[in-house]
Amino acid sequence: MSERQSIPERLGHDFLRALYHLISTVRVYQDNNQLVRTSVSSFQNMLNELTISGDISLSLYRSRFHIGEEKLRYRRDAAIVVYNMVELFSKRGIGSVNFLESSRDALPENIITFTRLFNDAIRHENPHQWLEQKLREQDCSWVQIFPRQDEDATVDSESLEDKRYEKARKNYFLAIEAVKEVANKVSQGMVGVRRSRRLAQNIVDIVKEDAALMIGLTTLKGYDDYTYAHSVNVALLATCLGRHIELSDISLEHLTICGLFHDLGKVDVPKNILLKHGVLTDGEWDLLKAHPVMGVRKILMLNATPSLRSRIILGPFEHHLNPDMTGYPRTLFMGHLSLLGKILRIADVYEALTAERGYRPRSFQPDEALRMMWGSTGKSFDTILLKRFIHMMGLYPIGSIIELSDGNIGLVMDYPDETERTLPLVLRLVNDEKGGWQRGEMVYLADQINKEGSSRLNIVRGIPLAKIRINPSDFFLHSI
Amino acid sequence: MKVRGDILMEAGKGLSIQQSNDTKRLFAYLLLTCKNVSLYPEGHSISISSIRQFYEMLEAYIRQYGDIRIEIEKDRVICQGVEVHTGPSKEGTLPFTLFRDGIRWLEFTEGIDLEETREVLFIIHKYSVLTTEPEGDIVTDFWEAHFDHVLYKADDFISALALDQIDSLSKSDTMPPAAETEDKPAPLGGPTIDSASPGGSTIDLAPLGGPIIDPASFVLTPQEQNELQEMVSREEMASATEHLNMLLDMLLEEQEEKDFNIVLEVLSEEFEGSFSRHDFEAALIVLDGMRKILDSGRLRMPWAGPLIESFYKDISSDTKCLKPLEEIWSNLNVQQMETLKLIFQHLNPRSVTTLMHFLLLGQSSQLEQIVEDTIIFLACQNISCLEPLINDSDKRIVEKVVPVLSRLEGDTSLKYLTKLARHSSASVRRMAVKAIGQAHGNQTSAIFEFIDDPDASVRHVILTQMGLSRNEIAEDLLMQYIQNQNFSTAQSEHIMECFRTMGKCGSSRSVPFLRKMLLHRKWMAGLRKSAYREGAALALVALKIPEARQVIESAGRSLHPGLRRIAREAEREYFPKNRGGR
Repeated sequence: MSERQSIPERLGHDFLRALYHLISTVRVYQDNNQLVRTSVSSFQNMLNELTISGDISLSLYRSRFHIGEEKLRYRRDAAIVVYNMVELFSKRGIGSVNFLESSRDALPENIITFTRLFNDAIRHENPHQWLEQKLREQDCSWVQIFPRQDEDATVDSESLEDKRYEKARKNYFLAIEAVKEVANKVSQGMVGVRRSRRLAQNIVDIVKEDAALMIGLTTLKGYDDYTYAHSVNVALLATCLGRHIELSDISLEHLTICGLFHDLGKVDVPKNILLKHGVLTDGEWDLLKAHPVMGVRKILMLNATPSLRSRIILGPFEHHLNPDMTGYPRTLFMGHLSLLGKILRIADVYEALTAERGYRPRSFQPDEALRMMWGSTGKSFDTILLKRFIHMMGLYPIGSIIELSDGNIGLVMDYPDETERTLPLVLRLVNDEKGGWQRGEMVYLADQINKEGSSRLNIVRGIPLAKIRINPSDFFLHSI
Repeated sequence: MKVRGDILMEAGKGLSIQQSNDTKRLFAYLLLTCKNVSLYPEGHSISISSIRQFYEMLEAYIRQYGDIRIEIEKDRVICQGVEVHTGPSKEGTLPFTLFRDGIRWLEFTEGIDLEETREVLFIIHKYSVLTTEPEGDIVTDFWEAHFDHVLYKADDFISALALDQIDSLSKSDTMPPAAETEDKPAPLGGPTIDSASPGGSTIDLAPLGGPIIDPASFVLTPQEQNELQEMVSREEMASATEHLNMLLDMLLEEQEEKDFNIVLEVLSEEFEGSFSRHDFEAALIVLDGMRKILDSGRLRMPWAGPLIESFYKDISSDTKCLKPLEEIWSNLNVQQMETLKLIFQHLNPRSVTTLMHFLLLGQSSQLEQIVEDTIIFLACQNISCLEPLINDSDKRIVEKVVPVLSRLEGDTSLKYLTKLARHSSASVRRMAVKAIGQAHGNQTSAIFEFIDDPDASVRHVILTQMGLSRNEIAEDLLMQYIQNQNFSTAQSEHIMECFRTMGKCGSSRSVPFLRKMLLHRKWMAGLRKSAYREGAALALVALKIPEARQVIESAGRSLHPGLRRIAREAEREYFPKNRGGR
């Protein structure tokens, strides 16, 4: 291989995106489809540019792509493409694809052939070997395939994304522990907020980097002590919404802490009341209604600066108040809700509706929950913020199990396009025939729109989580 | 050999000897600056100049060599590859503090300014000693500071908190159970579900299955976008008062004394804080709110009222409320004064002592009036709060008490004024007798007690008061005083003034006495006889009645030349001004 100059980062990402679109388009459309022709053309243009100085290799090492000798740096806008390409390579056992200089002479038909073979390889027992053999048979000598190296498999967990997943997971559980610790210790004496602040800051950093991951994490509903997991989930959802409306980092930190601490008062409510089936007595209801005040009292006992304290008590106090100040606790002095309180209110109700609770037959599907909340917008929720929440979550929120129009079951993973919140990235779930579900391919519904503007793949409906018995968070957190 | 070894060692790290030395010197100065920041209070000249010098050195270093990174290990600190510190670090020192909080490296980059440098040093100092349950640490504050030219990498201090623990937590994740009634339709007609409540609720949610959300409906209109921006801006401004109303609402909810006290303590702290940052509006919210609670009778428990009262007492103390005012006392604007006026109405009478001291600070007449009005308002509630001030050794304080007492009614204020009329200071005595005479109706006898005050000005005030109008009591008192008192020659001025006053307050009842005094002076002893005649003539003139004029005319016809002279002088004084008589 001739010595080559450094490849601009943007070019590397564009090449990867072009290849991904080519693979996706060819998988769906016939050879003569305009979309296919366009994507082949784009890919060829990129390839010609890259091979101008010689061969170019696209290799996957430690879950990071390298073009030539250069590692592609993480970019938020390219994360989904990278994520899907990692999946495509990994499932086929491919470590590297080498496009030789002669690829510049490849015809569009050759490119399509290579792409179809690449797609089909997944259906064979040894995808990589099958693909190598087929490329030889089809005379695709302009491209070479190399298998994934063992060490690459072993060091996967060290990849950037996995590190982020690991960090998110660790912070999630540490946040649960932090809330638990505060709840248990605060009545016995002074507890500092250092740990909670550090966790909140970590959560803010992760949300800024990958909000979808954090929303996915909130599907962790099975934790043994619901109150704590609920608090962390509310914190994550609220922080994501705060980020979505462009709150500053410090406000986000405070919002996260509000979320973590908003239900501290419930620790003092007996479990038999929290989990009671049926109607509560007046006394039980009074006790339950007191939890915002009890929670704020606990926050007041924390060792926090007055300025921090003043910003983290309002939300927990207000999270059961309606915009017109009805609800509880009763208020005489307060005239309106704070922004953090309004956000918490939305996150709290959404989380509670979608959680498995003992006192009702089943939890609501994320999309059901959003529809229910939307039905009482203005009265129970701030309309503007609820709109932003639904925009952020998508009509089928991240973590929703959905039925696709082709009959497959899928899990909503992300809405990669900030402006398009109706067409998510969906992970197909494959029934392993043993009662479990495995990861299938990733489908981006926005890519399924044909030139007439209609979609070839739609979401038909949401599916109750209980029906297929999976933990969506497992699919967000690789290593769990 | 050692030098040579060092040279080689540094050379191996690619630094010149000069840079190596400069690096060491910079780090040494950083340590010294940290020490100075911790030794001297903020704003101290040594601390300020030390920070400035460090900044100048840092800036020069970066200009010459580029960004500088300080790597912190347990027993070692490395700057740009140069080992600048080895061995265990003592608590409170820079290497110890940074390592303890998990800072692995700290980098100062090109463009750093003095303010950033100062903030970094103050954050490090703030957490040099960490309490058992701290409110934050260096990392939390660095994160919030968002430095433009200071980079750092921090370990997750909780990482050592046993990943095992996390793993065990992960394992406790259970698969959500398949609901037995998964196909059971959800309740229709709008489920009423609350996140807190298995039973009742405050949220009426739309029925399941609808409405279908039209994607277009959750797009914000331009007006909504503006509203959202405003909401965010308001939140970012972080109002210092919104939470106060919430705390007041909490007070109404509390049913246990200890819980009530927790909220009350926080409100007290908030009040104190708002005062020290001169946010009087916030302080007023607390005070008005508390008063509203107290007056509304909405408090559920009987112990709550006394606790709030004691709160008012507590916040009226010097340190919590009034001391912080001293520093801005002379720079208060009109708005602040108006707010303070309202705040002062909530103070406890015990705060009078401090308020009185404010009157000595020098202020606008408006502010002086506000303070004085407040003192009077508070003294009306409990006048005994003035007692310490009456006994104050500072004459200036006592002088400020007199006008206050003069505006108060009742026996106690008169008692205090009478006490002050015997004060060691003549000015106080003078003010006191004047106040007694002016403000407390007919107190002629009371002030006349002090007619023998050693200070002429005090006596003058007494006599002026007595002579303000015709007054039989004053007339009698003066008559007896002049008749019975054995005056010395040094008191001739005083006796003259007594006569003149007698003329002003007296009536025809005095004429026989004055006639006798003017025309038959044999019984007089001590004072020069002509002084009594002159005094009597003055009094007669001042009486301005015909009977008095007749006496003077009689004197004018006397064989005694001295008496005729006195009569002439008196007539000269009388006729030009009182041609018509009375």
